[in-house]
Amino acid sequence: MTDRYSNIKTGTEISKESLIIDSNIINNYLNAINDSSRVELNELEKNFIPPMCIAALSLRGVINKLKIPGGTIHTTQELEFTNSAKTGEKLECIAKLILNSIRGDWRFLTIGINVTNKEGKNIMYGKSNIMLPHNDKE
Amino acid sequence: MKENDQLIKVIKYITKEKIIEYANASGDFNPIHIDKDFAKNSQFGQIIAHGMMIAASISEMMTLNFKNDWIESGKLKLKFKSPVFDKEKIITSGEINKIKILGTKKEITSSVFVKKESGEVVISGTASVIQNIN
Repeated sequence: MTDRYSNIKTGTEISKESLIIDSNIINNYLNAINDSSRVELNELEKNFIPPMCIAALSLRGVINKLKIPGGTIHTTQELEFTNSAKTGEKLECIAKLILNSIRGDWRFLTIGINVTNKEGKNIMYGKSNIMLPHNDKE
Repeated sequence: MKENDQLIKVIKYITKEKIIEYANASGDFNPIHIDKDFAKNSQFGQIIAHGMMIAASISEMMTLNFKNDWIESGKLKLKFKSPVFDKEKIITSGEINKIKILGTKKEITSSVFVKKESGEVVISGTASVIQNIN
């Protein structure tokens, strides 16, 4: 049985996008999650983008490019934050397919996301496992 | 901080308004999070919060406990085990399992959990951070 994801091979670049996360985006994100931790940071640290905000927005490119169907479930997430990124700094996010398999009625995709800054310095690496309903035919 | 120490907890109340706010902030508009009718026919029967929205409480807890060290060296490994629904309270907690000395630095690894008031585990995993040894 084939669906729209069956032809995506391991190693395929799923999305490549530039992200500029400004203070407005950060505030919307922090309000949505009711974050209480920013008060613990000093003024310099408050200028850094919250790492989970980078993670959430880097996933957006994957969601859009793959046209993830409704009912998709996020099962596991790994994240590694290696450097801080400043508010408004341009970031590059590249997502690649690591694994593509089927179990029962579900397709399992593992996606690796690498986020770097304009100097090429690693900011974040993420590995997401999602399961999609396998009946989403072409 | 030493092994077996408990991390400062984070407690939150999840509402559908906040879930929609998160969808707008993150750009994740999967209907299972925002469309009542779609979610009603899903395996969950109702709208669920985004996994990454709930996982954000772990990052918040790590920031409260480790401040900038979390932003610059944090590592997370999480399993999303149960959905969180509208009007549910979540409690995010952690315990330091291991402190490994790495020259002039130390790697602190904690087990982390997000649970509902009932004790049901929503997310489980590990979080680690690298700190300078003072």
